[in-house]
Amino acid sequence: MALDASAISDGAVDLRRAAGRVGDDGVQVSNGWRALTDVYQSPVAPVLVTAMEPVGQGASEMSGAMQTATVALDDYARAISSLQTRRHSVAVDAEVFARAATASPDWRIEPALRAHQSSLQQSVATLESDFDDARQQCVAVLDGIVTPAVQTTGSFASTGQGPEGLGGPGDGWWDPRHLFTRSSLDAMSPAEVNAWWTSLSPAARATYLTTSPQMIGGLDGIPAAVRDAANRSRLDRELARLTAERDAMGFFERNVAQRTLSDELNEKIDAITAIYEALRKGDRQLLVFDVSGREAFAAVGVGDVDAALNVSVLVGGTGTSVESGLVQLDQDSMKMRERAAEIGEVSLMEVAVVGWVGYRAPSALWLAHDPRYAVNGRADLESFVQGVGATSIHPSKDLNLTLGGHSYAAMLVTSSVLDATTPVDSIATYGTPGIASGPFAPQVDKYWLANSDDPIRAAVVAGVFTDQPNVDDGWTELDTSQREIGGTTYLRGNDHKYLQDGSMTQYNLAALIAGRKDLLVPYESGK
Amino acid sequence: MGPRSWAALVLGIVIIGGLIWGGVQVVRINDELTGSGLPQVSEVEAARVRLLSLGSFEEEAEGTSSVLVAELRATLEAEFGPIVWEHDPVRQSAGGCSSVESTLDGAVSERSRSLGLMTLDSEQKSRASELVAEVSARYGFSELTTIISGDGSQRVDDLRSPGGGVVTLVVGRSVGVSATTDCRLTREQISLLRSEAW
Repeated sequence: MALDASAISDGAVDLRRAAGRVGDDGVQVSNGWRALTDVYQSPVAPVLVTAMEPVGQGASEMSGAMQTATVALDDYARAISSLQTRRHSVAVDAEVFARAATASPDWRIEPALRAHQSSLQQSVATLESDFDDARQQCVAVLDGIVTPAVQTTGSFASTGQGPEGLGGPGDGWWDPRHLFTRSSLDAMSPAEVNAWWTSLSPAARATYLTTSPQMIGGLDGIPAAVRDAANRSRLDRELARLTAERDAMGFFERNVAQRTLSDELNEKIDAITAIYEALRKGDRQLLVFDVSGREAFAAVGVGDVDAALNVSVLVGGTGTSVESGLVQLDQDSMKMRERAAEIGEVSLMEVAVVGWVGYRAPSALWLAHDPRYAVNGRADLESFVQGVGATSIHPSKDLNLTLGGHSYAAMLVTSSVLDATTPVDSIATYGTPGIASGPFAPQVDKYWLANSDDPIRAAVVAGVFTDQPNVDDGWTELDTSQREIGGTTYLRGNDHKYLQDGSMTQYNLAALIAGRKDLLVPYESGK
Repeated sequence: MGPRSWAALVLGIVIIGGLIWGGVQVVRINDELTGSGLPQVSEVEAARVRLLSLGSFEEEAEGTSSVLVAELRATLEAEFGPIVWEHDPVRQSAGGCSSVESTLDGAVSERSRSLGLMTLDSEQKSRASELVAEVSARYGFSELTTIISGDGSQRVDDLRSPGGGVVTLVVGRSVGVSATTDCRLTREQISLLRSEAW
């Protein structure tokens, strides 16, 4: 690797100096021509001054763009410097391995050495990927500067207004640390991310979409259609990468030495297959796609999340994973959307339902007493719903956003509406073992459903969780029962299932999702 | 073997039996609560065989939901006078398919829906329900379930067919009729599966 971090840093310093000169010169030109009006009187003088005025503005914008480039280069230099340090460590480790392998009669049959070899291979692969990411980040920023200049005949001002609170061009808006780096984007709220994205020129957006689909697809606040395109563009590549990685493992690694890694790879491959399964049904948006951690995460929206007036996010509970639960959750979401449109007496286009598998749920019943799964997933769900609020084409007062949590997800859903700034209007928990401790955001309406034969009631009776939905705390229990009145059958929810098509539980949830609280059927005790 | 040994043996068997039973119950409840009831291979195969024995989507389902909804609209207009309708696009989805069927490639149903901008009084709502039931029954949708909203202003009738399709009438502020056909395999998928069987 012939990358020279100090040379890049030196280049950034030169560029910064040049940016300062360009800005100063531009100001001088404008001021000079303005001053001319004091000493030169002519019918054409105002025209001349007006004609030269944009020089100062253009120079200022170009100076800002150059400053952006300098910080991108600085970031890149820092990144490769850090990566080169890591590379040195890996090289030392490789030398240790080489010595040990040389000393061994046949290192290929020694488990410790083979594990060491696999670990080294993984370190090298990660290192290469990180080098590539750093380069792509820098390229995205530079392309985002250059491309709009071509498209807008020399103006660098096509970025428009900055996010609220970050100021305008005159007070630091051009500081690229607030604009383009991954770390600064991660630190932004979804509303700020949305403002940043909206401010970009179409060419700059296209550049980001092409060069950084992973970043764009995972950023809450980016419009749903863009996230969908970014995430879909990665599916084939990720599937090929994971399959190749798995296939490269020998029998021994797959079954003994690296069994856990092998299982994870297989689960992620199955997860991508499940995502394809959901997407092929059409009218879907892939809003979350993340296979970078130990587990795959995904969220699939049915309908257009940004265009719909009524949006719901449904979260699965214990045992929910992308590979084993997404297809069913997606099918339930589709049917819930149709039912909500029917009950809400609105067009199907006005409703969107998202199946969100963006947290690590407890895998089995005996792990579901642990609130840490919800604690760990809270920030991601909070941010996701904030993003839905930020990208909706409807004003927040008109958008009806409902959050539904099944089983263990009741903990997660309730913990994600503790913050008063949440855009969520209503939450519904169903098959609930327990909820987070309040107080919850006061504007959020809270509902719960509990089937009479739901085995989860045992956990409630046993007091596994301290807090339960309660009428005294402002919760409303909704009806789940089946009744026969005048020969007509009213379906009840059964067992731990609440989203079944045609059931009373589905009706109540659909009415909530459609914003028709007037239609809800409340639970009547003793009925 | 003395009586004490026999007693210990019986006690041991009872304890082991109890532990096995308890374990089975824990696994059953865990599966129920975690939703890990992924379809068994045999269930998927049975669904495939059943759908293969039926006609294709193109022959038996495509276009029928819109025909049925059109007839329902005409029937309601004949009874209540002209109604202004808004239509959702006709869609192919897995709405008429069971969870197991929806996992099959090429399993699909068709859904049409119209929303009529007319408010019916309670007597008219009952009449609409009767009319929709009569028409739907001719198409094989006859198993009725009804839900009435908490404030009594809305009534939802689902008329299901044995094959999984459903006709829905919603009468509240407006009149909504939708039809979802039974699940079928596409002609292409049927050809593919039959060629693989050879």
